[in-house]
Amino acid sequence: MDLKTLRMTERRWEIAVLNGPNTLRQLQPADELDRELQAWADNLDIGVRSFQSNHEGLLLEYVHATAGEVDGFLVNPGGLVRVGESLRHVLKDAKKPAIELHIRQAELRGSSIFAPSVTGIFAGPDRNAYLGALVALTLALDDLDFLNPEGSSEFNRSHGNPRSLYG
Amino acid sequence: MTHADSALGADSDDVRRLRFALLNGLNMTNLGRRDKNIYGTIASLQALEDLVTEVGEAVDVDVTAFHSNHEGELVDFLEANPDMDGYIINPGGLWAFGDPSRIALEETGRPFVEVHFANIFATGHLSTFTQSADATVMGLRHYGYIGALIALAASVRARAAL
Repeated sequence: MDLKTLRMTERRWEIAVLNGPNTLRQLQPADELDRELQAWADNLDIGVRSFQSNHEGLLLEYVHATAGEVDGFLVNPGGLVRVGESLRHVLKDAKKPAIELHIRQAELRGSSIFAPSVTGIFAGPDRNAYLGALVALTLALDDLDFLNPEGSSEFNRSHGNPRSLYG
Repeated sequence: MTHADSALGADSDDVRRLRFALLNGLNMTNLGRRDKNIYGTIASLQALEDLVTEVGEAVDVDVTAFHSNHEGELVDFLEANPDMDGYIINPGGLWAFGDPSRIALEETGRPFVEVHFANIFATGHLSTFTQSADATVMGLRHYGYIGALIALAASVRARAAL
């Protein structure tokens, strides 16, 4: 189908996809995932870039470097799901909507430290989570009332705003 | 045909038509009158059901929408319609204690996606549906339903092609 028909603006959003430690094997063949992401983004008429690393520090530096250029993040934390405090923090600091993504929904169950501070969650089914999350985030970005913590209008998000786990 | 094409129900004859049920649980009938900060600008439950049905048509999925404020009716519906290709449920107020609905979904043996408008994990809670669902989508308001429908259709087709 032509996903563009679902959209409400013609803005060419730029979405960064981050894949954390231990995701490489899950995502095999990785170049096929990149091709799929590109095909889906073309279909939606948005830009997408992706980055995989097993090093949390490299993921942080990628967010530092791209936060000003992109409109949102899709993050598959992989092995960091329970322990990636620094990645969680940098995503909060980026002040861009971040969607936590998992290929297997079971990875989410009760153990994610990201879930309370991300804008939304898209866990499963299988690698189609990337497709669903890309579509949902694009449509959400098109809705200017939505996902904007500062609130350009009378509506503000009260759930899913970045907030401290400890506050 | 690559997965990227087939996932989107590319315009070919060999795309199998799927049947999904869309279930909305307790209080969702009140959608247009609920807190707009959480639920956004969607006008009503009818508007939501129409939207999901319309997107379903575009990806060759027949959507049967059902809602009730009575959990027993959701269970009745699931027992009467156990042969769908997939289920999308927003349990509404049942998210915490909707075990009968969750078990009825499990018993269909078909994949189901749990959708919530809000990121309920951000409120420090865990939905009872999360332990059984094939996919969980939350925090994306009604756009989560659209993403869930497209991802679930692509997933069911990819599994059928194996």
